[in-house]
Amino acid sequence: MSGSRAGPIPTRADGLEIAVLLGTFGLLLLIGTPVAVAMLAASLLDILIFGLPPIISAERLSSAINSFPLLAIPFFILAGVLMNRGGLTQRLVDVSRAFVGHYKGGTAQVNVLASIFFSGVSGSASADAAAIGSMLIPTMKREGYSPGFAVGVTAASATIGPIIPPSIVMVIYGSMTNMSIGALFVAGLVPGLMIGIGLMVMVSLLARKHGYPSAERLVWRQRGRTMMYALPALIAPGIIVGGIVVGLYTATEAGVIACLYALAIGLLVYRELPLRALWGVLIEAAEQTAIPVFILACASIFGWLLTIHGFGRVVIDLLNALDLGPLGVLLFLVVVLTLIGLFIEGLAALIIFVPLIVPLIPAFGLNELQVAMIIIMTILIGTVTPPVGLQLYIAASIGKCPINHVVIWPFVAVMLAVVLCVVFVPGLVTGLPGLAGLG
Amino acid sequence: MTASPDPSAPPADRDAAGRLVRLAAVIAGAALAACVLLTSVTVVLRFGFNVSLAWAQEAGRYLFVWSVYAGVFLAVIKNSHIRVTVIADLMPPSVRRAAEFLIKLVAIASFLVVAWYGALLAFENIDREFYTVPFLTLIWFYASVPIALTASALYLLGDLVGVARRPDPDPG
Repeated sequence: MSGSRAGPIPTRADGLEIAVLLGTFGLLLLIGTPVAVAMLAASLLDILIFGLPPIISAERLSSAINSFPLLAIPFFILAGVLMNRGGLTQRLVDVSRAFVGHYKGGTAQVNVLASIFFSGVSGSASADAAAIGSMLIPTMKREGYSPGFAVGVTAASATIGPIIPPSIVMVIYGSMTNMSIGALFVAGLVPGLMIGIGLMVMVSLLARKHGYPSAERLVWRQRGRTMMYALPALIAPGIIVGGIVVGLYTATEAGVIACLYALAIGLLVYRELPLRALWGVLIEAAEQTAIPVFILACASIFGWLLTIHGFGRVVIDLLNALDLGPLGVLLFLVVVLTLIGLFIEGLAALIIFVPLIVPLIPAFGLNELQVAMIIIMTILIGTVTPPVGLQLYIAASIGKCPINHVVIWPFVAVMLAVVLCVVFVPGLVTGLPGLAGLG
Repeated sequence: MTASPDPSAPPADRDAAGRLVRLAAVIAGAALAACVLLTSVTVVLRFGFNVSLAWAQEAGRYLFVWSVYAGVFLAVIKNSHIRVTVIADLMPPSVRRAAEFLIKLVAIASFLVVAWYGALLAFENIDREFYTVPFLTLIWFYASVPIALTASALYLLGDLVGVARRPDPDPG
């Protein structure tokens, strides 16, 4: 199945064409050209020099993004913002506090648990970092946590957002590879929860070492009352994730339902959502959608050129020469993508590298879901590692903490450990989609 | 969300940039609002009443494309497209200025080439109707790319001329 999706393995490669394309792109990227423009300019140069029909560039820019699944992106961004402004996120934080606040480093644990709940409705790590960070980083600093620790926990736990479904990253990955977005969503559930639990264990170890405080343990009646208030917010992840897992709705439909639900609860139940704020929210969502989707559109020309020039053959020959074997190829991917993630922003890195990696799947007999999850999780690690990491910047700017003071590496270690688990135990990501009939 | 035009620009430039930001934001926001409404109606009708509204889905997708390209123009004005700045940050100011100049030239040339072919493509589709919406032709869909990229190229061109004229160039 993976073979047909990734296309036939090319038998030869056009060396000069590939050199012009990748050389121009690399050079433009290095001098600081926006990623989308660098892809577009390199592709146009290649098309014009080697006599391909240039109208294809315009056709691809419109058609590549004329896709119903991509509509899920603004919906997931909107759902996150609506949850924050409508008071749902606050209720999720309250419930988390009621149940894990009394552990050592309680507020840090709350940070992780609330991110897990939040990720069941939102598909964006930035929304998670901004929302949970602005609620909990100031509290954590007041309670005596080091600002670097507060920022690190927030940034790391925000990455759970796009691993547990729904997920913008997975929508983009699925649309680039023609994989089932539903299967990707379901595959993310187990590793997402593993990262959540792993982060909580790490928080607990660090909290003990640094003597971070814990809150008073609540009695069950108080917990019950908090749960009651938070019930409409708490069942939202159930509705969204549940519906996706049993195949009730597609990604875009899940996005619509998440938005309508958050809107209804924010307006009618908690009554905290100001209607006037909606216009600003829409413009914000439009810009946040346009930037990655434009890269995706430009990458569709770039990826098409790589394919017709037979670039897949180059990568396959290179890895064959290294004599790695399937497991070695997966580990190689983790190492390379982790290094790339240090310097290139997450979504951009994903869009640049997926077309380069996909030819490896049939050539090395790899499982496409396993490869997808390894790529997605490793790229997300890149969003919290300095010097370039979007989640890190968002959390650090909320915490007013210099990047070099952020405690991030222990959490990165947890995330890398989960990625390695997926490398060695593919069943972690293929099992659930198989059970749901999506594998 | 506020506009962030270059603070070192003279007031007239700032006002013009501010107006353009508002215009692009209104188009992007309104197209997204219409897209969100149509798509929500489609989904609610499908789940609630088992009714399929093909035209709303098609129109929703085209509005999405318009919202994206208006957003692309907005991000050009606000200089918020994603870049890799690790190397650029290490460059001495004069090299960096030269690089910025080159980047703008490359962007202008690329946008104009694609806009030209995009316009040809749009006119090729002047008579082809939407698949499910009668009376509207596909030129409305294909026009988004040439219009947004021409506007972006013109903005960057104006910026380039402005930067060349200004004695104290912006620090980037």
